[in-house]
Amino acid sequence: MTMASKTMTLNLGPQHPATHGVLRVVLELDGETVISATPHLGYLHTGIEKTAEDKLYYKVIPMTDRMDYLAPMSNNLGYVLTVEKLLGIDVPEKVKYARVLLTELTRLNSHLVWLGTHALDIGAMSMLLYTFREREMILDIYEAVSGQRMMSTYFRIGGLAYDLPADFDKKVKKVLGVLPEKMREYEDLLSNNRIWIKRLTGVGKLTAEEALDLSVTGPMLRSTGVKYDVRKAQAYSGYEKFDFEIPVGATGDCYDRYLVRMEEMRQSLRIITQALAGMPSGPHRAHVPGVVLPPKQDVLTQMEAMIFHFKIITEGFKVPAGSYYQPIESPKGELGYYIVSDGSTKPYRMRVRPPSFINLQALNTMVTGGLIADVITCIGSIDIVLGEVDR
Amino acid sequence: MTPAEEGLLALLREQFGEAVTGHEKFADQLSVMVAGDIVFELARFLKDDEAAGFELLSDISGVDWINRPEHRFELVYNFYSVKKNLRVLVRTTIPDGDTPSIRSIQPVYPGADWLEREVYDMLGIDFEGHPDLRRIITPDGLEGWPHRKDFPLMYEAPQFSYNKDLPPEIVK
Repeated sequence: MTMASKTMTLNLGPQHPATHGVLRVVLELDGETVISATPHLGYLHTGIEKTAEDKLYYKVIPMTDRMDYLAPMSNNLGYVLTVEKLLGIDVPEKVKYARVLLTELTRLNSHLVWLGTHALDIGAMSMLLYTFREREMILDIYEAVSGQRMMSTYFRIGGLAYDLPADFDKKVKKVLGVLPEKMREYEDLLSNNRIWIKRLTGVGKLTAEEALDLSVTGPMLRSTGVKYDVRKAQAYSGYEKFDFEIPVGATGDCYDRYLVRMEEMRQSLRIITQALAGMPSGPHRAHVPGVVLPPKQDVLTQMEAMIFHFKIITEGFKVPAGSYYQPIESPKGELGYYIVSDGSTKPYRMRVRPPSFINLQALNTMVTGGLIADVITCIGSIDIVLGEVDR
Repeated sequence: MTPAEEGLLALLREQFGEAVTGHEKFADQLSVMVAGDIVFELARFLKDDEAAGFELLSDISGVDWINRPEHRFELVYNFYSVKKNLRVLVRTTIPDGDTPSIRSIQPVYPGADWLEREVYDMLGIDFEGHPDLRRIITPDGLEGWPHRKDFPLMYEAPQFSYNKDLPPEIVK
């Protein structure tokens, strides 16, 4: 008697909690071995790039939060930096420091959620409760600066929406005081945990060549040993003034990605400490009449400031014709904004280089030949946000 | 322009001659304009040549310039060299037509797979030689190309309708 060899097609998602949103993957299986994985995207497509073409420049900022909703400040930063470059305006030192500090907090926020959900996928359920507890401190800071816990929309073209609140230092110091100790607790629970090591080591391996070929960036690329970090390579918003290391891995498996992200969180804490200590005083907006809103006090007392305020809000401002690509290092990888201006008050075209979308492309390479249980590990280890994948 | 950028530009001009039609420097960003038919060879040169050494294809974006039909679609390839820390945008245009097309660079940079699929999905540009050119983000049955400027922004195609004889009017 002969056995016919037959493969099975399994549909994973789009409503499966372990796919981190509405990702659907069609798996081709031979027994428990994965032959191929084909992601099907678009369940969360909202047409942000197209919608941006019909909005005034400053009205695009709230939409950028909704792409990578775990890293709203990074998305804001990429957009405002691109527009500032097209306009050719420079922002005060205080704005640069505040932006760096807040985007590094965002990295902590995103990595904490990643750690909790990734561990949850693998079965270490308590991690989610711990990381979400610590994340609450960061969301409190978001709320203090912008009034919103998640969709903060705090950065503006040419500055910040409001000045930093009075108790900002105290709140940030709380994070700096609590988090290093908590991170040691996480590592006590995970780093030498036999189940954690067995589920992660050697799983979802990528070599440096494969990762570069597949355009993978961020912690995934660095875990393969390639030292590419936009903060160092193309420093933006004053990152060249800060002292920090770029952690790299060696084997490019899921365990290395865990180590790289944990070390990145430590480096973020270092940057936050430096930014808080060196925070200059001064205005929280650049002085560019007709583009950046004048201070509220002036609007209430001076005719000219009120006219500028009114004109910016109703008509927007013209951006010189041209196009610029600005990459930043978001928690997921290289987040780029490519904006084409035709000289009008609305972007002619806005293209977002979504790191989650491009990193997800490597899923097939990572899982092929592995076991079906490792697919979940790999999806978690890529660290995707479907709002950004589908945009 | 930095020496590395000048070197790259000279290298490309030597290799492709007249097909490199121009270059532009905006702030710290170098763009090279090339003819559409050399994009594949250029990608292969950028990746394989020792002197060039662009390991990473960062992005491909498409722009619809509806008011100039002979250069309607602009493709912007974003190459990055990790070794040299150098970024170059390679721009090319495709004329308007029933099926605007260009050769796929997926065989050179496997990461171009989904990037080209997205450009196809959004602008309807046919990438010749792409192994799996399907829509990636919008639903399979969608008609039209969303990022073209003549695609209405505020219109959603009805999924089903009782009055089949009278399709709803497109309101721009």
